[in-house]
Parts: sequence; C-alpha cells; structure tokens
Amino acid sequence: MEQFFQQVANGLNVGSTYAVVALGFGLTFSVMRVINLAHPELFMLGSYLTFLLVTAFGFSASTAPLPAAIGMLILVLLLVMAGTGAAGLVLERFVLRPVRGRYILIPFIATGGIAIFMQNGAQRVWGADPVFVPSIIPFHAFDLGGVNVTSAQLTTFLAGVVVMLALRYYVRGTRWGRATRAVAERADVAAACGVNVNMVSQLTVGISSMMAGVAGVTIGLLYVSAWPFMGLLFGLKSFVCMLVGGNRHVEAIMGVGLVLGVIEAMVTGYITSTLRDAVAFSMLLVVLAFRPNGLFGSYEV
Amino acid sequence: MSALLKVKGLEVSYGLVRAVRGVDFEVRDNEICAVLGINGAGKSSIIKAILGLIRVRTGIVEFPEGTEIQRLPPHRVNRAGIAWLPQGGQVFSTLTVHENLLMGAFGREKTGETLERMQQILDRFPILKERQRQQAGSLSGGEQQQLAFGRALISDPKLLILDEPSLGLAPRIIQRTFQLVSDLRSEGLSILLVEQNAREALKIADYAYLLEVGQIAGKGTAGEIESSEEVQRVYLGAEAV
Repeated sequence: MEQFFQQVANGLNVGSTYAVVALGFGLTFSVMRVINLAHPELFMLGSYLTFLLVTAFGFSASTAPLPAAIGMLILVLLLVMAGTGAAGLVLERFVLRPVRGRYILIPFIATGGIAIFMQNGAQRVWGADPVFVPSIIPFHAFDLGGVNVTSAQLTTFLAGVVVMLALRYYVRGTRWGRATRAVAERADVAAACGVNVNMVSQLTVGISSMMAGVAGVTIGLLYVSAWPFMGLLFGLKSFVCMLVGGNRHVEAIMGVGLVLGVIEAMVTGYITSTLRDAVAFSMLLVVLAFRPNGLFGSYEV
Repeated sequence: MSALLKVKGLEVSYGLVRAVRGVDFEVRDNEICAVLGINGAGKSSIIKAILGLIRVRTGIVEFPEGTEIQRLPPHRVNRAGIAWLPQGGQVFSTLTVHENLLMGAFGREKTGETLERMQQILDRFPILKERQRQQAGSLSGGEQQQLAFGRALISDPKLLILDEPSLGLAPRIIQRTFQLVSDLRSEGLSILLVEQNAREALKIADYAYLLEVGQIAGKGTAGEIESSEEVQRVYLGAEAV
C-alpha cells in the first residue's frame, strides 16, 4: 500500500506539470482557435532561463539558509515568468494573431516552424547535451506516512497547485476572465459587447506563457537539467490532456493532467516504464472514440 | 432631421462574391427602420460592416451623422452607442444569466448606472431574475432571446440593431418580441430592424428599405412599402391568394 501512495505522490508531481502546460494549450486554443505548437518550447525556454539565472547568481542551496533559498526561488520564478511571458506576447502579436481564422493547417505550420526553430536554436546556443541546473532548493526528504517526497518534488507540486488555483480564480472570478470565456464561445458577439478581443488574446497568451515558465523552472530544478527537446516530451503529453479533457472547462484539463501523471506513475511502478508513454496515447484513442469533444466538452470551431 | 446612422455607398465582398453592392440608407432618431430582404440579400453583411466585425473597404458609416465609424474596431463601435441582438440571440451559453448581462456592459459593470439598468432589465424580464445563477444554455429559446435583449440594453445604447429577431421562434413569442421592440421605440430608442418577416416588421416599422441581391430595391414609409406591388408579391405572398 505504501508503494501505491508513493506512486500517487510521484504521479501528482509530474501530472501537475502536464496540467499547467496543458492549460496554456487549452486557453490559447479556446480564445484564438489556434493550436500553438510553440507553447511547450516556452516551457523549455523557462528551464534554460532558470539555468542562466541560477548560474549567474552563483547561488548554492547547500550553504544558504532556508529563507534565502525561498527568496531566491521566488525571484527566479518572477524573472522567468517575465521572460516567457514577454516571449509569448511577441509570439501572439507576430505569429498567432496573423494566422487566426485561417485554414487549420496554416497555424500548424507557422507555430510548428517556430517550435522547430526554438528547439534547434537552443541546441545551437547551449548544445545538444543537457545543461546542469544547480538546484536552489535545499535538499530534504519528507516522510509523509511512509511516502517519500523530496523538497524539489514538493515545490513542483505546490507551484503547480498555486498556478492552477490562481488561473481558476482569474477565469471564473474576474472581469477579464469572464470576457475570456465569452470570447472563447463567440468572439464576434463578445467584441460587439465592448470587449477588446486583441487584448483578451494578449492576456491569454501572456498568462499561458507565464504558466509554461513556472513549469519550466520547477522541472528544471527537479531534474537539475535543461535540454533542447524537453518541450516535446511534456508538450505531447500536455496536448493529449487538453484533447482528453476538452477545452471548455479549465478544471477538466487540470484534472486530466493530474490523473495522467498518476496513471503513468502506476504503470511505471507496477508494470514497466517502457509502457509509460503508451498510457497517454491509449487514453487519447479511447476517449476520442467515444467522446470526440473530450470528456467534458469543447468549444465549437 | 439629421440621421442617427447613415450608411453611404457600402460594399462588402467575400473573395469574388459581392454580397453588398453600394447600399445607402439611414436610421433617424427614435424610429424603427426596417431593412427587408430574403436569405442571401446581404442583410447580415450590412450589420457586420456597421458593427466593425468585417472591414469596410468601400463606403462610409456615420454614427451619428457626420462622425465616421467604419474604421473603428467592434468594441469601440459598442462604446459609441450601438448594441446588437445577433440572429438567434447567441447568448454565451456557458456563462450564467447574470454573467451574460454583465458582458453587455463590459468595462462599466460596477457603475451606478449599470447597476440601475440591471435592475430595470430584471424587472422587465422577471424570468431572468429567477434564473440569474443558471447557465444561459439551459434557458428556452424565448428566454434566451429575452436575455439577449437584456444584454444589448444594459449598455444603454442609442441604436439597437436587431438581426432577424423573429427567426425560429413560435408565433406567440414573435408577437411578444415585436411588441417589445415597439415599446423600446416609445421609450426613445432608435432601432434598425433587419428582417425577412416583412408582414410583422412592417406593422411596427416607421420606414423601410427593400434589399435585393445586395442593393436597395425600394424604400418608403412602412405604409408605402406594404402596399407596393413588389412587397405584396415577394414577401406577403399576394400571388398565392
């Protein structure tokens, strides 16, 4: 039974990252009707920015006191969010907005091209091998009733939960969040109600990109590395989460991300890790066969 | 009397298809102006051009007369005082009734004026008051239309554009809708009523234009248009009698 809960803990940890990246996919698609294939590359960029910042600060988690480490983590999170958010805004203005409303393949080619450019750009700048991201989180293993959780894992999960709660509040509880849902349903009607649709898409892509940045920081610190093609791994799984949950409810995407993480951990723990990556795609096939709009519904295209 | 909305030489094309081919018309203060046309006559294209939802390449839209608005984005057209009742209402089905009404006054939700108008709208449409917390998608067609009216009216527009409000509704509801439109005119609102149902529209309209394949084919007071041979034949089915 302890092993079971250990796998649940491991799964929630990775799953929260899937959910955070998937939310960005889902939000951007809902508002702009554009699949942003470059979205996971902002997550990759977030990890490399973490590498640059932590290396530049020369911060050592093993010697620094805990408050300093927490302060450092918050500072890195804020700076990386600013970086990926800004990159997202540039992407929105010059790539996503011009292809909005075009034939479905055009945004695929445009954003896919940006993704390939970013992957190879990262490889050119930082090399094909993973770079070492020195951890700024002091190592500590917590024993939660027989379940071992490291401080880096806990940070990843907590950051994911905070991001999800904040996003849920934004979408359900604020004026711009309400406008975001209205634009997702009928952009023309929302515009004629007085909503600046371009403003909503900037906010949406900006927020999605900042969330990808947070995931980049925590995964970079958890794996103590960043590599050029890390976006592919998490991006593909996250994309599946968005399709399985449907893009109509942010809660659905969050739930599916967490569940996918846990199922993958179970398969790894009880069967074999070679089957792990088959889980997401089996889930996708089964769900799409019976509910083509995802488990909880999607907006009409 | 000067016009509240003046459209001059408006053209709308989709690729090689010319949907609107040089249309001139105006809506005067406090009148119901009907634009009548069958499917494909260009009615929706004219509305979208006025609202800023499609780019106007040829032609001028003035609101009020003397102020060109054809280059404004849709949200600024709304701020200028034009509200829209889309075909079929098109409420935001995943938002609650209350949220839908708030969307109608986006950016001005908290002002005293909006709160006051919210109250007036809930008094006018009691069913919306009962259903405030429900998702708008769960309302009946007639209720959704009331919500769409509420969403359009909460911004206190000067001009209300109605896109085929009779479409897909039961005869009893259509009567109620046209009565409501007539009441709104009595309260001082100006209305552009774009309709296929000429019989009902002409009962309440002050002035009417006939739109045929993207061009104005006739205009006059509602009485003149109603008795014209064209309308009798095409819209009111006199030939069949």
